[in-house]
Amino acid sequence: MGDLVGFVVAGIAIGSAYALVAAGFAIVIRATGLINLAHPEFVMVGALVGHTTIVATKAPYALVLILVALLGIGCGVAFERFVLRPMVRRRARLGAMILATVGVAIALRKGAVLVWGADPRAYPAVYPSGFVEVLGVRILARDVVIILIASALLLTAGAVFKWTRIGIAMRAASQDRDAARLMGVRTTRTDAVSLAAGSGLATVAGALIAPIFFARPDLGIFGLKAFAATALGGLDSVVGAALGGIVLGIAETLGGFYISTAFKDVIAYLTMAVVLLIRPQGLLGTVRRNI
Amino acid sequence: MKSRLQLLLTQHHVNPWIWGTLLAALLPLMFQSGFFYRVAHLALLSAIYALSLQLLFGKSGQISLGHAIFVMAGAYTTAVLTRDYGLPVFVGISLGVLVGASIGATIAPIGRLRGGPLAIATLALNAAAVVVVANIEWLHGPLGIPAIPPLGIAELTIESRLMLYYVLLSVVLIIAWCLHRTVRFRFGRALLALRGNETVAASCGISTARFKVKAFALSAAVAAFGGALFAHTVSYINPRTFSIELSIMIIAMVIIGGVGSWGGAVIGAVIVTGAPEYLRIADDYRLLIFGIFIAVFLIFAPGGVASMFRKATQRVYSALTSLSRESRNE
Repeated sequence: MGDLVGFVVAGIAIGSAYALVAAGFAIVIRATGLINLAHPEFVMVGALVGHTTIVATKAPYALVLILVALLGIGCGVAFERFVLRPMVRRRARLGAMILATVGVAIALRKGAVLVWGADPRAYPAVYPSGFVEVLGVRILARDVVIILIASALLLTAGAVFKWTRIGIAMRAASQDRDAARLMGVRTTRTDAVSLAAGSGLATVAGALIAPIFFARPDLGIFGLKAFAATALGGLDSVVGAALGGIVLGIAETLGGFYISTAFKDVIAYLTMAVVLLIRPQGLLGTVRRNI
Repeated sequence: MKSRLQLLLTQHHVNPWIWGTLLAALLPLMFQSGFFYRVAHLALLSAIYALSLQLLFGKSGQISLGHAIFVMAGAYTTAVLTRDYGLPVFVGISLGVLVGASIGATIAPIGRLRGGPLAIATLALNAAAVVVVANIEWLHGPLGIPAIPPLGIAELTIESRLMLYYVLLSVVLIIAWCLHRTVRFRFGRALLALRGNETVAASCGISTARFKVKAFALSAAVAAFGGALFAHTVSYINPRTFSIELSIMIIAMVIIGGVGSWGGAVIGAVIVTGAPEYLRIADDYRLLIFGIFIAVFLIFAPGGVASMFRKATQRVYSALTSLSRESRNE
């Protein structure tokens, strides 16, 4: 029993990193309608830049996380200005927009190989080692830190989305772009903010998980799981996407322990495929017409 | 009365299909290297995938980022049947097409989603399919299937690469023609209505769910056919060949070529397959350049090559008309 709880917690820890990436992805979809396939590459950028900073400056990990978040925000704003906005202006269709982000993704991945080389890089020890005992269950201290940071970020993002002026503007723009513009919402600004938030979450997630999975240019594969999480939870629901991430994390950790580690990915993806075939809109999503 | 120049420039005379076919048929006269044939075979096979996606995405508006699933279904079915069970190649290919079509029909309910959600759902299914196939023992697991027999009927196998080139070229042309004809009749009209506006289509008496299943199945069948030919052409496949990168490349062909245009799909396939190969001179930078090229091209020309071609011919045409009008006025 103690084992089971321990593994569920470990699953939640990995899952909350998936949740960060997935929620960022879903925020961008909700607010701008853009399926940003370059999103997982921001995870990779966050991991590698975080690694370089921490090795070069020996800065404390918290500071590195903040720096990486700022970098992600910058990337998001640049992405809106130089990729999304010109395409919206030319009335590009959804397919062309998705593909342009694929081009950016390829360029980022190959650019990273040129800059950092293809080898994985190990982080210095950034997490506290050892275990924490909660109610008689031994939990890795590392997992606790990841869960705490991830949930703090997700709650902040949720609060911004729900209560602030820009958050309300973003939701208005996601419901009906033209109507929102008529009401004085600057949709270019809401686009920029949501892309900044989305990529910020992705880069932080990269720096959070890189100490476990190593920092390497093909870390975007990790983001692929986040797509699965978003599809599982519901594409137009930020909460659903985060939930999907956690479900996926638990499914693969438990499956890896009770069946076989070789089948870890199979179980995660099969869970998602079954949900999709029964309920295409995902757990919490709705069948919406215009994304 | 139309001037001669105008006549020359009407659709019939600049029919890109005729010139394109002629050019493609003459290409082996100019290039004979093994490299050329490898790229050309791949480009022609990709053209089949792109045509099949053009039916689903360009004609009926269902965006699929998981087309490699169907390609994989065709390739694996025929590879396992012909190699491990010794069935004749054409039986393997036919069964591959059947398996592909039934997988297409099975995942068609996902077509209840539209646009972005459909794209991500199909993408995720593709990732799932690759992982699952890599873990199935009798599909040879992650190492893949080597030594798949070459194309041919009974004793007659296609040995020469020139022969294979012409066979694949004719397959592409036949498929393009068949799909083009299909779309002209009731089925195709229904698909176009689906693309335009689903609610209106439904209110006109089109059973949208049934037509989506048909569109998915037909598109999957064509893609599986291409996949089966691929397996016999390259003689070695593994699960990673059919990862989401392939799906993304297929949709890249359709979009770069031009959504809704059969010729565009073929041109897109040639560009997307050929460009990275011929950029090999740039070595390390080639995929970087390719990525930037895709992004920049689409940011500035979201309509693809087909719309550029259409615009260019229109511009030339109107320039010439005004020229001839001026000369008549003098």
